[in-house]
Amino acid sequence: MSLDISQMMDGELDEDAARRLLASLRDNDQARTTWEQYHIIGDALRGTAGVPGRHALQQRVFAALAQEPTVLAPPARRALPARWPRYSVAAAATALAAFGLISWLSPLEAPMQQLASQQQQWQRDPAPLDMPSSNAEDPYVEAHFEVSPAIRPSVMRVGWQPDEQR
Amino acid sequence: MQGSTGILTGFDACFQSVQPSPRLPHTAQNAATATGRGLSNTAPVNSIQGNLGGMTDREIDRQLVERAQRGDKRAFELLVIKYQRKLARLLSRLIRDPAEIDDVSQEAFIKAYRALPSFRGDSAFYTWLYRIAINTAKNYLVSTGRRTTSTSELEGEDGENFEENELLGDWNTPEAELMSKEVMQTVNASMDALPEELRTAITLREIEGLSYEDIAGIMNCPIGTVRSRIFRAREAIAERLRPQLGTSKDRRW
Repeated sequence: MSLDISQMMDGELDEDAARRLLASLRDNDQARTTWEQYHIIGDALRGTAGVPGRHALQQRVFAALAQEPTVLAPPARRALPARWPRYSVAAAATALAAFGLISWLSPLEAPMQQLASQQQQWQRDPAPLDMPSSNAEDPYVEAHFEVSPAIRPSVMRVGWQPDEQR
Repeated sequence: MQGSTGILTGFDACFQSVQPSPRLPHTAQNAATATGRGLSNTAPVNSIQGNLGGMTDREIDRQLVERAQRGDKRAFELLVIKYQRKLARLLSRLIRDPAEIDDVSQEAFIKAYRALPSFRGDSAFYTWLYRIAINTAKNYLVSTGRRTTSTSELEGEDGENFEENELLGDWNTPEAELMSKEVMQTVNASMDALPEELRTAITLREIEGLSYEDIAGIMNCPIGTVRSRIFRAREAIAERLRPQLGTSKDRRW
């Protein structure tokens, strides 16, 4: 087991074996001692050791932990398994295709039918322009036109000029 | 030389004149001197190492955190064992008194435990713990009417680089210095006693942070041999340290 701990600390133990090893560390005091000693050695070699009183601190923290209410929280969200991206791409492509089909079909029907009936109505009973001509010079209306110049009466009238000539 | 460890088998015939310096440096500080590099280049990098298929250091921490989140306090204890020295060393930059460092370290670990439900693994566990420890230390200093050090003086971008800029010797009591020397002397003596191939392997791993594959390439031997050498080096050093580590409650670290 010590060899596995050494290998795991070096990031060289495969994930399944590492999970099993970490689980076994819970109740194996000898393995926990090895875990501690190997980390102390690593810290010493890197110059992190030499800090006195560490074991005493460790025991204090453990004692304080024992007094703490046990944390019971759902595990942190995990990264999606490798196969999930493929599913996500497929789902996104399907959704995009469906949206595109609906968007392509819908404008071809209702708006076109509406335009056709409206054109028939205009030809049958040309209505007078419903333009607020009397208000065109109204400062209040003018102010609004300044905000939205695209709907100025003059512009709209131009659009209907052919009908008026006819 | 083999007899010094008592566990050597002499099968390392594949070791072929790696030719490190006659006596490879043991500690990071010595390594920096010997290689002409700053300490920042000799930082532990096992947090980012990991062979293909191997569980990375970060993932190990994450596994332990998840176990703790499910109610396994013993898993959190393993994180305390792993990071207490690093954390105390960080705090020693803010607080000089070792007793106060212990108090703040304990408080930081307990705060981290209470905050475990909020840990999502977006950052490394130590980075997260580092932030908690810094805030705990600053609050402590404010509560005692002392000036706090700017965090920027302590950290790199993610707090991971702090240790790289550290030098040994922040523990300023005579007793602490003596203990530090004892520990380092034991480790250095253990390294001196190792066969060169073991010393090289563990140095390349622990100080240089190389993967087994890279070490195998450098030492021109199979990965399995690298694994064995590093393990035997650790065991040999641990054997010498055990009398100091002991099991008594008054042991020093």
